[in-house]
Amino acid sequence: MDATNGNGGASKYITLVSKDGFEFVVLREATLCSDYIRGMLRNNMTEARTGRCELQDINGVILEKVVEYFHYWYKYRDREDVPDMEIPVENCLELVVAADYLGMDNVKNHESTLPHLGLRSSTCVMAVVPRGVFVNRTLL
Amino acid sequence: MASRTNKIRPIRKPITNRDQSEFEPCWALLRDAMTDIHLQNAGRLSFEQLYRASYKIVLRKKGALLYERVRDFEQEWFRDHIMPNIAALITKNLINISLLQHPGSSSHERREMGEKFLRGIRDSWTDHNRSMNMIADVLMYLDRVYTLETKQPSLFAVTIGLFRNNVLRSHIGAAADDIEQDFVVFDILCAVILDLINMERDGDIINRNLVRKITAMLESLYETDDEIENHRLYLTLFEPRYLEASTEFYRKECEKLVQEANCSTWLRHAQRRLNEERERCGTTLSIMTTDKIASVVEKELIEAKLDVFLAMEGSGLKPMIDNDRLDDLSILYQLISRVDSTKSALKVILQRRVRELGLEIEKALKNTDFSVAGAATGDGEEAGEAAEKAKPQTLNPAQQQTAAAIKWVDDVLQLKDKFDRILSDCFCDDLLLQSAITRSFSDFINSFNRSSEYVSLFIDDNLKRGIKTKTEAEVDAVLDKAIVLLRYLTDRDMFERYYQKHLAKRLLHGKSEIHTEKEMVSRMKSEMGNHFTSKFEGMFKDMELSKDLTDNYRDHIASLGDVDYKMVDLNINVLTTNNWPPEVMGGGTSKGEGAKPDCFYPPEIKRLQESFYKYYLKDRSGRVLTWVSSAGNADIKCVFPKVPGKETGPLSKERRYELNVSTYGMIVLMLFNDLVDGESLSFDEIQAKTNIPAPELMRTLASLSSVPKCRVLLKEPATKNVKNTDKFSYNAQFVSKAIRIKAPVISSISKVEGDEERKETERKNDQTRAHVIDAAVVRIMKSVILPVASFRVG
Repeated sequence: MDATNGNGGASKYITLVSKDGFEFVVLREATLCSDYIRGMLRNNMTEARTGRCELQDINGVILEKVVEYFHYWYKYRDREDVPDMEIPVENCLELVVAADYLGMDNVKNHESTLPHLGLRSSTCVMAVVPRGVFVNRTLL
Repeated sequence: MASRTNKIRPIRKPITNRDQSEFEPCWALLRDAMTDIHLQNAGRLSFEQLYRASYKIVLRKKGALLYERVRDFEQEWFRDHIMPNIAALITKNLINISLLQHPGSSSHERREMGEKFLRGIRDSWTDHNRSMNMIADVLMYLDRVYTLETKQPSLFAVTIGLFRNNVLRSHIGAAADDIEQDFVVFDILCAVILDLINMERDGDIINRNLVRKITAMLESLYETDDEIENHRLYLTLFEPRYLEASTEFYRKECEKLVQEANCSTWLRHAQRRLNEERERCGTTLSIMTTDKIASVVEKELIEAKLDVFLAMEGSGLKPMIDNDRLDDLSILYQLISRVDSTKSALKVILQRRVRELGLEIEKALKNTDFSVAGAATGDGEEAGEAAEKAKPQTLNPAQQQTAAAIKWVDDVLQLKDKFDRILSDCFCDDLLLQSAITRSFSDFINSFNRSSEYVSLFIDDNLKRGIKTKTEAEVDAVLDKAIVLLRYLTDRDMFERYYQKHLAKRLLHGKSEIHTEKEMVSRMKSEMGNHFTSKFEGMFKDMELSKDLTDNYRDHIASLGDVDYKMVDLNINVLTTNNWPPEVMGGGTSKGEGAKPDCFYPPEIKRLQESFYKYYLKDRSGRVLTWVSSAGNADIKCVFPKVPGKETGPLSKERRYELNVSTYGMIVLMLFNDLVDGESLSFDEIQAKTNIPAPELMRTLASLSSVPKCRVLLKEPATKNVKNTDKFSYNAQFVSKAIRIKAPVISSISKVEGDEERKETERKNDQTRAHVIDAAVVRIMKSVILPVASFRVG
């Protein structure tokens, strides 16, 4: 069961669409750091067939950052010394929620060492605060 | 929110709808989707939508409810849609055949039915597995948050486990009312697979892929939802039964083989079975079983009746060795090394066989001896034949025995080659077996009490005769072989004694090439150590020094300008007493040891000796030179004058020959120089004039008077044997085609010793050993610190 299983048209790219209609074309392999997208692509549902996914809870600004992270993760996935990724502080909460939604904390499932850590310096919230507690308190 | 810095923007669109009733629409969405997934209708679903539905439910802390609902849904689905199919698969016939083993069905029938059943199970499983994977992906958020926090088994584990609970563990219901035992579906499954595998073992073709699918299923299911690694159903349920069934199968097969087949068939069969089972684990079952099933085959098929097969008449290990069945042997080795790392069964038989073959060589040797040389040669070690030995035949027993010795060595080497070949080709140069074989060789070689002498004779023979015509590589091979044998010998002092004797003869008579000799000795040195070869090296050194000495002496004579002495050219060998065998030093036969009056040399020689003695002592005062007349030889230029009355033929002119004889021969011939034509000397006269010991003289005269090619003396009467009363005269009619003639020097032929000589050698050897033992005892006693009192008492 890998990402090539049952995808419609074996394109190397997939399209991610934000709530407000921005479209991002992302290297398929780069999105695999998200459990959500992995799961989506390996099941033969609409998204897997069309290669297009509309994320209804994530707006363009945040999704842009997420996509940047995908590529950042992809680029550094086999490297040892990974530079920090720039994270705008004002977006970090929303980024945390998006990351949680997309299942990007579970990097142990992926084959790489974690260059996850772009999010580390300014927003260590992500790593430190237990997800459930934080998200729920903020949102509800 | 207020406490946070302004810079962090709050989440723009928090989920404001706090309506708890949102659960039901979400669940409805999910439930429909699950139905679609089961019906393989998932294409129109939106992953994002479903995921978000479960996400929302979890965020609202309804995870537990969702978890339960999903589980219940799947259970219902199972009951309503899957179980009926499974129940339909389980026919009465299937139960009868697979579980109760009712007879009367052909294997073809059984296979068809079994495969149909397996196919049904596989299809349900494939569907179930696929659906569960999809649902697990959709409900990923639930697993990641809710089940993780509450430490429950993941939803996937629970739903996939339904297959185990509902299918494999379901009891066989209506279809089998009349069975008392309580079977579950898994029992059928297992029985069918085992039946199929046994069919394949019997040569049928089965659907391996199908079986592999089923075992893969068992591998991915666990005993419980906790999914503990060792609790895979494959390991807990299937494998033990499989191993048990295989054990049974191979036990029967092995018994059948013992009855019907021979060892060679058995070997190949076992090897094939091992390969098959390994392959089966790769293609049909699981590689986890590879080692276990291999050990079952090893135990049941190989180990169980190993001894019976090895001992089989006509095909067991013994004939294998005898007939060089290398293929069989290498298979055997591979199999045995699987079951027994010490390979004791193989080792024991191998050793016994080596010894037997060794003794056969010895026996064959005795038989050959008799057949070639008539009744007279006699084997020295047989007490009963010693008497026959006393009356030697004309066939020259000494040479016969030498030939026997060489034959023995050749045979032993051949045997050694044979086992070496087996060892390297079949036994992968196994160290254990190698040392076992070596031990057996050394056992039988040493149990044959003439081995030391024979080995030395073999070397002697090869160095004397063979080497000249051989290439360097061949020489190397011969020397290597000799060393190999040497390694086995335990009576090395005996060997040393014999070798010394033989070497001395070779050196003094210039029979071998010196560099080959040195090569041999240097090999011995690396094999046995410096001490062993010190005497041999001393001998080489003596030879070299003597050569220099001879040259220097010649120069010395030349510088004196004394023309007279040039008539006799002297080649001298000065031998150090310790290094050379007493037989040579003592002057001939072993009996002639001790103070023995030297023979009378002719005046020419006497003068020469004195001259050399003087020269020698000039630099080395205090040394004593003893002339060893028995070991020397001389070139004599003889002139046979024209025989009067002969006008044609070789006798009509003067003939010049160069005659090479032993020192004794020279002395004897010099006597005839002074004799008038036609006069003769009797044996006693010759002995009185020369003082040569009688046996030596007899031999010398025999070589000069009875061998046709150098019959320079005539004997009266003209018989072959020399007796005390014989008379000898000058043979004026001597003719030879060759200018240089070598009189056979009987004492130079290395031969097996006679009984008395042999005893003598052994006695001397024992003496030497006694000294060594004494020295060792003293050394040990000195190193042991005893209390003074007990020392005195002792």
